[in-house]
Amino acid sequence: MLRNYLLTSLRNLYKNKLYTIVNLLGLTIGLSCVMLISLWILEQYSFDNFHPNGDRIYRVLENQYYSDGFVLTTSATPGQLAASLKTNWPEIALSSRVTWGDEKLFKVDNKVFKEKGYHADPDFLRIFNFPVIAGEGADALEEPGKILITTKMAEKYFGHTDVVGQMIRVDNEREVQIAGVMADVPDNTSFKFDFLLPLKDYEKNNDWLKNWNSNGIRTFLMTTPQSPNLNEIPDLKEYLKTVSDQDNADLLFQGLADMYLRYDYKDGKYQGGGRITYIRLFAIIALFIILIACINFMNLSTARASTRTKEVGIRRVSGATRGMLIRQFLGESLLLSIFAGVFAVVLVQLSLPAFNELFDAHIYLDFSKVGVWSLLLGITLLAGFLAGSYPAFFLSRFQPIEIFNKLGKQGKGANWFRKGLVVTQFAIATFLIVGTMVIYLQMNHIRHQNLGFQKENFIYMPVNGTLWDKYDLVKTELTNLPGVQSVSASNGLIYQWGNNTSSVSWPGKDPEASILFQTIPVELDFMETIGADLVDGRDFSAAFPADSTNFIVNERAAEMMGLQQAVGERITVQGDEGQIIGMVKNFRTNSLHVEQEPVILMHRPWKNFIFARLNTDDTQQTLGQIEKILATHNPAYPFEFSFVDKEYEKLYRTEARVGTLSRLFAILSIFISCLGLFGLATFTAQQRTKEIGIRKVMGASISQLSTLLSGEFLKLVIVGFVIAAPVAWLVMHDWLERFVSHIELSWWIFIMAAVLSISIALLTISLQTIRAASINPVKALRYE
Amino acid sequence: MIKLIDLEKSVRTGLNRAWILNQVNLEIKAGEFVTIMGPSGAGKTTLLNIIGMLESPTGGEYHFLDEPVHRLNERKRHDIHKQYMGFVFQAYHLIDDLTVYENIETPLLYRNVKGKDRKSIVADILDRFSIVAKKDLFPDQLSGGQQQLVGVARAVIHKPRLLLADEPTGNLHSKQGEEIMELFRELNEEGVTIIQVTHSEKNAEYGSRIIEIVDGNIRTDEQVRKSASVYGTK
Repeated sequence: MLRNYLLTSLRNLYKNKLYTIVNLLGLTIGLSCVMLISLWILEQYSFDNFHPNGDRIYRVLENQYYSDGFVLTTSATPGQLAASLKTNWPEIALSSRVTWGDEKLFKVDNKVFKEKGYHADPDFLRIFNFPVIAGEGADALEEPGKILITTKMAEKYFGHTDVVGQMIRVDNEREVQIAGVMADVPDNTSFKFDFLLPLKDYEKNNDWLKNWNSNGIRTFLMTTPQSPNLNEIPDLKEYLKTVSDQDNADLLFQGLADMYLRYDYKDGKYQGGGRITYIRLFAIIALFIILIACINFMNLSTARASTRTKEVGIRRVSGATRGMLIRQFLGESLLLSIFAGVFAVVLVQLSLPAFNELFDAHIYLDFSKVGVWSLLLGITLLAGFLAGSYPAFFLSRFQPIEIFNKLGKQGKGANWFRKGLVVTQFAIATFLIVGTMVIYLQMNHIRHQNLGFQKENFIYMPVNGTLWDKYDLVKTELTNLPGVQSVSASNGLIYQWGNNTSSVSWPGKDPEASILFQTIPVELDFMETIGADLVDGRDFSAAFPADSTNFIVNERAAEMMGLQQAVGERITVQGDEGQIIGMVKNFRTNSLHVEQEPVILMHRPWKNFIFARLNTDDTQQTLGQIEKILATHNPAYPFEFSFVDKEYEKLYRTEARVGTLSRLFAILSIFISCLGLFGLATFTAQQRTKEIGIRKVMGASISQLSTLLSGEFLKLVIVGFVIAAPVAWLVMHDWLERFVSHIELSWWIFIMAAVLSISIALLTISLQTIRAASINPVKALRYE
Repeated sequence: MIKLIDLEKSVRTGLNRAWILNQVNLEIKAGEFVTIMGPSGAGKTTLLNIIGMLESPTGGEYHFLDEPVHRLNERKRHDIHKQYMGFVFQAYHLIDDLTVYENIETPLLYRNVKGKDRKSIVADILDRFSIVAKKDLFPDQLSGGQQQLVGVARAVIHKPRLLLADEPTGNLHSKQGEEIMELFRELNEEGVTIIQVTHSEKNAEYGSRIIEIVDGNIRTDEQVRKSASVYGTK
């Protein structure tokens, strides 16, 4: 019996090659997308899930409430918090501070490289599961002078991992002893590092860690097994107020599992977003795509039902029950989906490198894992069942007498169902087209947004080693280069300054007011170098020695202080009094997701980055000259630089990726939909051959006939559009609201999407309809 | 009206060439009622299709109303076909999804007749053929004779000068067949030129001229003497 079914199925697939190819291609593409997306989602969910006590691990967040209603939620915490919490709260078993990620220069013999790692307290290795292979573990982080490195780093510098006890030179200034070797850090972790240094090391150069009012380091906690959720302890929430002057702040504890997926706070509360949004989005897209592919199968199978009814009749007369027939047809669709599944796995395997590259993912198909097999097989079989269920019930429904009596006739019900499916497909496709267009336009909008500074031809270089001591000399030499227009320096990056303070007072300030200002220490020529415009007053100048205590504010700061004439007023920032000597036009100090911040610029000597504005046609040559100058003055460090415009794009990396992905999936879903439409058009044209012949003899021209045939499909595409448009409007409107500055959803986007989907559909079916319309009526009407 | 000179139709079958029509010379004047007879496979239908411009000859000349059809392009041929010709088929060939009314209306749609005019033209013909009551029925709700009546109505709705009929009564029983033939005679008397292909001696008698085709050639071409059937071979 099974053999009989299999043979009939295979022959059927072979005999109807077009039908088989259309289904196979659609299902293969659909399955590959779903497999890729599923693997990606699994990878996302696996982040930070390898720590055995994950449910007891928290990251400390702080909510700071300002008088203008703004609430800053930050993971930057005071340096004293970790130890204090552990000492005073029995619920908290372990606590560790961790820096944000440090780049250090390492040297062993003549091997010199920069590596990324953290400074952390000993508890870091007790809270998190980063196994130490050899030597000391957590204890190595107790006192300065020791370091833990990964296997990878050991191999890189020593060629082997037997390195415990060896010395390694850090930042060209001191030797530390390798106390232990750790296993390499997995890809799916929020902590990416190749070395760990004791936090005490960091403390030496960062006195602010002792200050309860300075937020600047991350705090992680592990509770005792008996402890309730930390957020349920009211006094703990208010703890900061009891130990520090931070009376506008409270604490929040984010579970480890949420750290990667659910970081999205506004007004001090979790807003439901974060990476999880994109996981949901792509899960829906995956569902859409497989649905479209399955719809193709359903459509073509039911459309072709007339060619199978005779077989059904004969089988029923020969004693087959309906159940047997259902099993047979389901088996057929499963067979097809298994073929497609095999192709899809190959396709996934081939496209994984590109996918990983594009989305910074580390997915691979590990065939040794049962989970991977069951995932792939599960998706495949599910698609087969989904696609095959309706046709199976539809085909097996026929009664033999009916079939033999009116062979080739079908009920109108199936027709409606089929039309509904085509409408669904094109509604989804249109939705994706609109979404893709809106994302693209918005990204474009951001790229061409007036940022208040010129991000092109603009580079920055980190200040390494002793470079800062020679800043004036370096600046003079750089400025003398023909390709360099101006040079300045600051302590932060152009879009990530990082220093906030509410300790600012100005004339007429409401004593209750607390407003968070961005403070940026800058060097001379800052305005010219970043390309910002002064609205009033002047830039810092060497001609005015008093400028070392003076300030420049941006328009937003002046506005928030309520100063009509800001220039000339005296203000106090973090205890230092000075005069406002200039007002600068607002320039972006963060991403367009957030509101423009109030900014105070000051001329202080604490700098991490040198900026240079280039003015050259030969960027490579100029960069070469800059490198030479830096190499002369700072020989221990390799030359590092970045283009600001490139770095700026990274702020919107998530959106850009979503844009690329949605574009890809929109194209694929359109393609699969068209594939189905093509098959359906072919079949309909075949079925209507006789009618076309008659109409032709009656005098219809080819164009009239093509219009007739295409018209019916076009109606479906248009209905699909009408359904999709409002949904797309709502969803995209919502998405755009995330940006402070965004494009308007204008009607022409929808018109374009409609024109696009209609013309693509038309193109797909025109080949078939024109061919059908060109048929020789004599052949069409030949008597049987 | 129609002039065929050395008309040929051949098809290639492998290396050989098979002639379906060979050296056909024929002239048909406006107002004639011609019957084409002959055994199966003799080329009757092919000849009818060529005259109706559904097929092209492979050689020879075809003049229709002094236009050299064999030299015209597809578009021009289509225009002539559309303007002057109506077709009736053995299997009626009505469009299943359209009602009687809509079926009859179809040719007018392809001739850009205005909606109001269409209505009156179709109403006239429904009335004339006495099928007004059936106008909203679908083809499968009609008997064969009624379907062919609709087929004829559709063929003449746009007032063609030439009506081509391929075995119009082939699927009908004799009573129904007679009705159709009577209709043909009436149309002929009104001035429509008719060419029909048939196997029926009785139908042939309605016509004015009988052409017998055997193996792609015209064997006999005679005027009908209204008295008796002299070609009785069946």
